[in-house]
Amino acid sequence: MKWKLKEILFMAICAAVFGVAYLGMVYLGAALTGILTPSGWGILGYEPIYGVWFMAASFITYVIRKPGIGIIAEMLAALLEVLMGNMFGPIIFISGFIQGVGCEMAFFLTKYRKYDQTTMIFSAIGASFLSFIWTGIRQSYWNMSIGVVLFILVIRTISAIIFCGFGSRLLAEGLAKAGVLKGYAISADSEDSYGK
Amino acid sequence: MRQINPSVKVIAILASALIISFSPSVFWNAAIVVVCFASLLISGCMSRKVLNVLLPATLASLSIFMALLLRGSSGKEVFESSGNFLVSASSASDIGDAAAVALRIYAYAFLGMLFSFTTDPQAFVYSLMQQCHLSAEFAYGVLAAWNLLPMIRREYSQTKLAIEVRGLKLWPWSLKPLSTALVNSLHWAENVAMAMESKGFDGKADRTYYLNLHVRYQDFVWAIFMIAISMAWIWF
Repeated sequence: MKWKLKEILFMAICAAVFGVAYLGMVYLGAALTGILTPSGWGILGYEPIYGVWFMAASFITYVIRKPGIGIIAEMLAALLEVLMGNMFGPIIFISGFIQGVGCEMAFFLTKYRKYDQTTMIFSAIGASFLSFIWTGIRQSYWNMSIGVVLFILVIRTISAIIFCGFGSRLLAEGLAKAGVLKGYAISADSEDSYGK
Repeated sequence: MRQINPSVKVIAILASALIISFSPSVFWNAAIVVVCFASLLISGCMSRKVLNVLLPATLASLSIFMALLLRGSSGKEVFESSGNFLVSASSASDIGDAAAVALRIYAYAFLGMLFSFTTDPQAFVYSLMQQCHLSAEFAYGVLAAWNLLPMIRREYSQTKLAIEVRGLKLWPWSLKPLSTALVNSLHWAENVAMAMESKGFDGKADRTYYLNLHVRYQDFVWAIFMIAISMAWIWF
């Protein structure tokens, strides 16, 4: 796979912007966790904004449209997070890889031909499920009651669908319309469909 | 700690974090916290930065501790009770499990700090290029983004401010500032790529580095030590 320098910088800088935006929302999650902790529901605190984690991968996949890009974008985002001094340090390379694979699955199954609303939603669901298994191992979900675990999965999946399935796509379409994404696969494809 | 090769360090810490993800032992999770704490002390990295990490880590580990204690799979009757009765209703094994997982979150946080507080980001990327054969295009792309971070942060907060100045309501989860901040940042991405290419940047060519990093045998000794502690719960 040949990567253009422009695409690599696009990925890296997008990952940085999404990282900054995520930090802005983390306070919301922390506040929610703090409020919910005494009742034992604190573990749900970060779930409503969990989808923002996968946004970089789904947004970049939607714009650049190349096989494997979801995984590479998430790995780059993880590398940036480590450089920025993320709380969990190098272990987020693994999280990034798993989330990237999750995002990638839906596009892989459509053989990288379809980049539409349905595929985006399935990509969001894939990322949510795979990351759920990984956090499940780290936080030993099997020791919790099934209701709590299902609650986590449902909230995370809804958040992923809202932020990645719809949010990333709207963001990309909006930016394409503004003319910022000229020269990337997304604007080439949409120009075809307008018959230009 | 600062002398250890960044690539070896990242692989060793990654491996130990992965291994303790499966560890049910309170003692060995605590041992990792202690070892990391001592290493940070010796390297002189104890500062307010540690508190900045420990605060959210404490919150996260407390929330998981309470979740496991009160919403554990074996504690049906706990839902009905309240007050001090809660703790007495949960069995001792529940508390042990909950403490192990809560300590694991601390261990992750300390392993993370052990890496990020003792590693120079620039040296880390250089080491990834020299030891792990990361392609130069990706390495310098990430470095470019990392160096642009302060500008991206300013851009993002200015966008938010601009929206608020217009009197529009801005929810914390709104994506509006994100899209505006992306417009400018993507222009930078394009400009940086153009600048790199016009300076003759090429990912394939042999490069010389002003910073040459090597792997020494001390690095391996340290890596084996770290991995051994994180694997100890399997045998003891």
